[in-house]
Amino acid sequence: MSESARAKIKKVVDELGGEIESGEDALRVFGRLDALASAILSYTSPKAKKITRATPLPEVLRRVAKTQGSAQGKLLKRAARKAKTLLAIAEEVSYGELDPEDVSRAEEARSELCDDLYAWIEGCADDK
Amino acid sequence: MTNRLPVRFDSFDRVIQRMLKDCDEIVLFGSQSLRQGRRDSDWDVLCVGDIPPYPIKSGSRRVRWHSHMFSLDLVWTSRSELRSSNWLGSELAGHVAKYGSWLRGEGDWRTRTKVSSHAILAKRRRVEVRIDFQRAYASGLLEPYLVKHVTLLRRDIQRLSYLQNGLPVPVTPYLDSEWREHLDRDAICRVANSLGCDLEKAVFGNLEDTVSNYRKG
Repeated sequence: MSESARAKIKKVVDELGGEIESGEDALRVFGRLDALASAILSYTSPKAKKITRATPLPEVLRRVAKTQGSAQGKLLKRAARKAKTLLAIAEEVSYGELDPEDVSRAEEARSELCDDLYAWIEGCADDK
Repeated sequence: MTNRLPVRFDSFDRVIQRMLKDCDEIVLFGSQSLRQGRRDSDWDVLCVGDIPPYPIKSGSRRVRWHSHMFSLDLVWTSRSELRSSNWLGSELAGHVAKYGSWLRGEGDWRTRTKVSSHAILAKRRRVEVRIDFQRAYASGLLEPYLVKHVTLLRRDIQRLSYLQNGLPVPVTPYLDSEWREHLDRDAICRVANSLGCDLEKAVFGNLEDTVSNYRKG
């Protein structure tokens, strides 16, 4: 993957920050996870411009994982699980359910998702 | 739009009656209750009772529940809350009062709903988040993601327009047909403009640019 592609994906990952403490925070998370899914598809799938569905991030990560080597694939599969957790909590919060435990679980999932994606992006630099 | 009971196939009715046996009121609302939903759309159900039904976890008010035949989006509220200004002024109460189909109970509260300033403010904040998202990300999104988020923005602006006019918000398919048929489009765009958003450009401009980039690509 080119350096500029990695920089673009990394920028979206950087912007995933922020706690989910309100319905508006949850909306931001939905949007940013979609932006991330779109960016990853753009730079990893040769058929990105032909996709017809806004595939959720966990599914995108699982799909891209299949095209990667073992270590990189593992990172993406783990990131997919974290993204799924984050989406589920964001959905609850968007319904107006604000459980302090969920807020910290979401923060943990977000932080681990970012770590896995940073590691994956780093790994992409080595895939020449 | 008229309120029409959906076809109550046996399993739906059986599940609802069993799951919500302790509830005083059961109301179908949303697109399925008006037969405007897709086949796979959730069935939106409001239930009123002293305690939440079993699929809703303690401290919660809402749950998505799936069977192999249908999905429920179940919302619970307590009888005492029905009298609160918080409930009566909410977007959901206004919608259910106007478009809901009562399967159990009378819904004597439904004549007392009135859109609150809190509901308008909450919707306005959602719209602002969506506008910020458009500004930050729209130009880089693949077309399906752009279409999805522009549509969500447009619908929330339409909902805000209804609330600002003190009206209950109709179901999503109605909002979509209203937009397609240009009903009140100027008024909707004015609401968007008041929030610094050129909605027609967001809907048509960005999409046209993206589609044209797709063709070039």
